[in-house]
Amino acid sequence: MEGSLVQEFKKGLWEEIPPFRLVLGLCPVLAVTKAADTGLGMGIAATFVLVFSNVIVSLLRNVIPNKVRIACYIVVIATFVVVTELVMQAYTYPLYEALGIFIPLIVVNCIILGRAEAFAGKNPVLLSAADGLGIGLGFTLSLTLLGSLREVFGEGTLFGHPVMGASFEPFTFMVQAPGAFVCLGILLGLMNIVETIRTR
Amino acid sequence: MIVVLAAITGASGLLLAGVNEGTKDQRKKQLLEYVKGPAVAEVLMGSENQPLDDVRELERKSAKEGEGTVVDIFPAYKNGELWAVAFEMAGKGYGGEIGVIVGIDIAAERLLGIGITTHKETPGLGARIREKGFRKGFEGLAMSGEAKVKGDGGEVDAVSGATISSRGVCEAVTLAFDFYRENKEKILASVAEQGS
Repeated sequence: MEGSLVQEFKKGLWEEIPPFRLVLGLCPVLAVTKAADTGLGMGIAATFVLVFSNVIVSLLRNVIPNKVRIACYIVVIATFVVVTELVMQAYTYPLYEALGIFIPLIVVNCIILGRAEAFAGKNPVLLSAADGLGIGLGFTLSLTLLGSLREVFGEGTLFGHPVMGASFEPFTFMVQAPGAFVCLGILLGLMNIVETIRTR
Repeated sequence: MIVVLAAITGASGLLLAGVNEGTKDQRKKQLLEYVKGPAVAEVLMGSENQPLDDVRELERKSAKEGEGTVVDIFPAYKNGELWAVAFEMAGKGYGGEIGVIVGIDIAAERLLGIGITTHKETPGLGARIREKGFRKGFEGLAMSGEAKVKGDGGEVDAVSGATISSRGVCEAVTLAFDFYRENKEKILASVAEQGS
């Protein structure tokens, strides 16, 4: 039991790390990773929703009728998304402004519904919580990494602090939409190379 | 099946109501700091006090809509005397309500300027009501009349391609004029003294 808890948690950090291994939920990934802090904020918000929706779905897995399970999952997820939205509005308003429409869009984020359907609906509460936390942290890490890369090359700053020196000419392409695709593609490719070497 | 669905939605409804209630004051504060604050500061530029700190609440009674709601009045003083007030009114835009901060010069009975707070207009089109060029058209309007876009026989240049949004702002400004005229004594009495 304990071993599998750790295992479920760890798989979210490498084997099934979204969005690189689990290529899901790309819409917020591409849109909010203009800077490291928005990526981090989005990751934390998604992790919160993921953990709680996983726990609730897992608790209710024997109560929810199979025919309407998706509807039930969506209600649970939407509830936590609105909670997140209200709390962010109350305590971190600038971040809420920066993320904008992508906070309510967590409702239809495939990762969260995917975990509810593929994992939490079939497994006990603790395992589901570990799964949610692992996948959520993986998502946060990826978004922060992607955001940091794009911010460093696109703006010459990291979390708003200049890091590249005065002579650095910002590579504005990186903070625009195509930069997101290119960055994501390169990271995905690198991960595939590492994975091939590891399994050889 | 129906029982389970009803129970789940009911429980989430309760939770949301609780969170909504619990974060209400804090959200209002943040909105004041990050959205209304800059708008008020811009509209009341040149005041000696901090209009945000001196805010007074006034119940809205005689207006046609929104009876019983509370309006925040932001006073501005110059040389120790009341110079202008600002408050927020809302008009119907294309995508919902548009919140407009209206600054009024009390002696001249003219509009000092407006600031847009909350809106859901189309980005790049209706959302251009936030731009200085459009808002400038309202400066100096006389309190006696109504705010109207040029197409409706008024003096304000509408944002091209966004007539509905522009009209929404005009509606809010006209409402503000009405509100000010109807409640002038009460407003002035509530903010006559500097400091709170």
